[in-house]
Amino acid sequence: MASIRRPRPTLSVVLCTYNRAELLRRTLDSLCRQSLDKALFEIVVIDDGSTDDTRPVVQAYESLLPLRYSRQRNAGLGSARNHGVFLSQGKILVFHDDDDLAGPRLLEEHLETHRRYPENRYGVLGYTGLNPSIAHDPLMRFATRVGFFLFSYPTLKNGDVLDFRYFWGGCSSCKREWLLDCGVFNPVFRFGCEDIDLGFRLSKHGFRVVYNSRAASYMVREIGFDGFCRRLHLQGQSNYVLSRLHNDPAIQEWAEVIGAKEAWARIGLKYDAIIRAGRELDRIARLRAECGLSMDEADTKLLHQCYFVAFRASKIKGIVEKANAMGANWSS
Amino acid sequence: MSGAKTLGSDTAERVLVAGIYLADRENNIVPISSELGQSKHWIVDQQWIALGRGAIPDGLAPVTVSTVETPTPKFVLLNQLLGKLDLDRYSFVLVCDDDIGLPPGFVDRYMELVVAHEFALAQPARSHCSDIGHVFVEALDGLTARWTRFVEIGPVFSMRHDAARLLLPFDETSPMGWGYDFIWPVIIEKAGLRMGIVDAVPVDHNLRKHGAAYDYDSSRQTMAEFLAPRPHLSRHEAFSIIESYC
Repeated sequence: MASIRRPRPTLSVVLCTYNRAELLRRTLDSLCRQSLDKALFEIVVIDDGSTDDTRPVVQAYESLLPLRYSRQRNAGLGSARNHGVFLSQGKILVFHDDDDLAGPRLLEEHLETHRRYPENRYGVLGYTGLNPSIAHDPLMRFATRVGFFLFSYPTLKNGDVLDFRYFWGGCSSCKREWLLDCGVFNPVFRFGCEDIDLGFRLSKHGFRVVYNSRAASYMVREIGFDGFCRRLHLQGQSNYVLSRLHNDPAIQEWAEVIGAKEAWARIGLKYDAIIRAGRELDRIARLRAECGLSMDEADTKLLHQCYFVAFRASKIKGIVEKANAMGANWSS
Repeated sequence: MSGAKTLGSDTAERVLVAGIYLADRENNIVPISSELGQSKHWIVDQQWIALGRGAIPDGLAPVTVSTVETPTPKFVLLNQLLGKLDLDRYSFVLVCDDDIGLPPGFVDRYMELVVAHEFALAQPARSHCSDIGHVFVEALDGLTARWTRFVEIGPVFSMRHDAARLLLPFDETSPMGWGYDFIWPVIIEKAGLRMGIVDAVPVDHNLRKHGAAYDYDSSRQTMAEFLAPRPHLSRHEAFSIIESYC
């Protein structure tokens, strides 16, 4: 149970987790090795109704980290993050994912950037790379460095001051007071878009995001082809909800809702075949990687095409299904 | 739990509902009063003041203890109402506005959680469809309740008898109540009591637009002047969960 009776830290790490006890252990391990003085930060773990060993894993770190643990019934990421925001005592909130390892200077770099940009309206985007254990995974490389289905860091340079589209949930920070004044996460978003929705609402008050590539963390979870398709399907559903909440051209463009119905009419009947083909090529690419066999340019191009089409189709499927479930009037 | 005795037994405890309804404006007083009267475990005494020149709605006469036709601030009226009553008869005072929507079984479920978590001062969370002034009070879906450092001045809050002794009469320097909610935590915590928000029974508060009835800038100024000489929490301090319960 969370307890508040200790000196107020400067920075709170909000770490929401759901049934990833083993990954969470590695994440907490990485947070034990921060360059920032432990007196200056706290870790607020929100357990979103896990049924695995999450609680004992957290308990094992209570003597090693300035840690607060609080459990809620499973309610999704938006609600869990709000729970964490309100439990936090730090003036700066760092949102960190339970499948990312923190680089040793992660918290210090976030703090330093906030000190350089002390106005409440500035948030910070850190860098999320691939841990060496998955750095050579063909899918993860494609998603992060080619197709940009997961981050788009190659398009950014250190120090960029960015708009709401770069307030990425698991690697960003902001001032707590700013959220209390201008808005928190919308609980309707259980997965996906909770960050962009909030960033967009904050942008109406002048919110900007400063990119600090030295505030680094590293993904350790290999998502896999089917997992990635499921993720983009959910993302598509959230994109549609977001597009209905904000009738703003920037959001409509970001959510990729425009033209989704027509796109689905073209690809819907082929969807299963698209997924099968992508899955098979992904399997072969992994086998080749495991055997140390390189792929030539033509094979790589074909693989990336298949990834792109499968992931895009999964997102469109999510958009269209959600639109139909919500009784969409596509002509409007 | 203490207080949750079957109605009709000698030991059933009393809740005083004290509130004001705007008789000449659209309101929800009839369903509110009806719902508050449905408790199975508490003896609920309702004492309402009708403010304005409108007629008293059907069925409300027995619980409408006075009519005030001239505009009068809410907490001045509440002081007048509560000052006449023997509050020692009641375990809790529930202060209630006229523009809310209460979920079925509100009193029993809300009071059960207030008692269970020993909240001397408490409020139900606001539902997601409510007009929200402070984001902190919107319902957190995964929680039943939370021990907090903030309970707002309306539309609904409850005071246990010991908290009522500390908080009454309301300070009429800020007659609309602006700022009370940043002073109350100092008083409550100094007395070693707990305050909290009950998420499990969120109330709707969307009948009238937030701040529509008053000048926002003026009320902020009034609040700042009221708070300046008094011990109080900042927003950052106040909008904090101490412990949460699911």
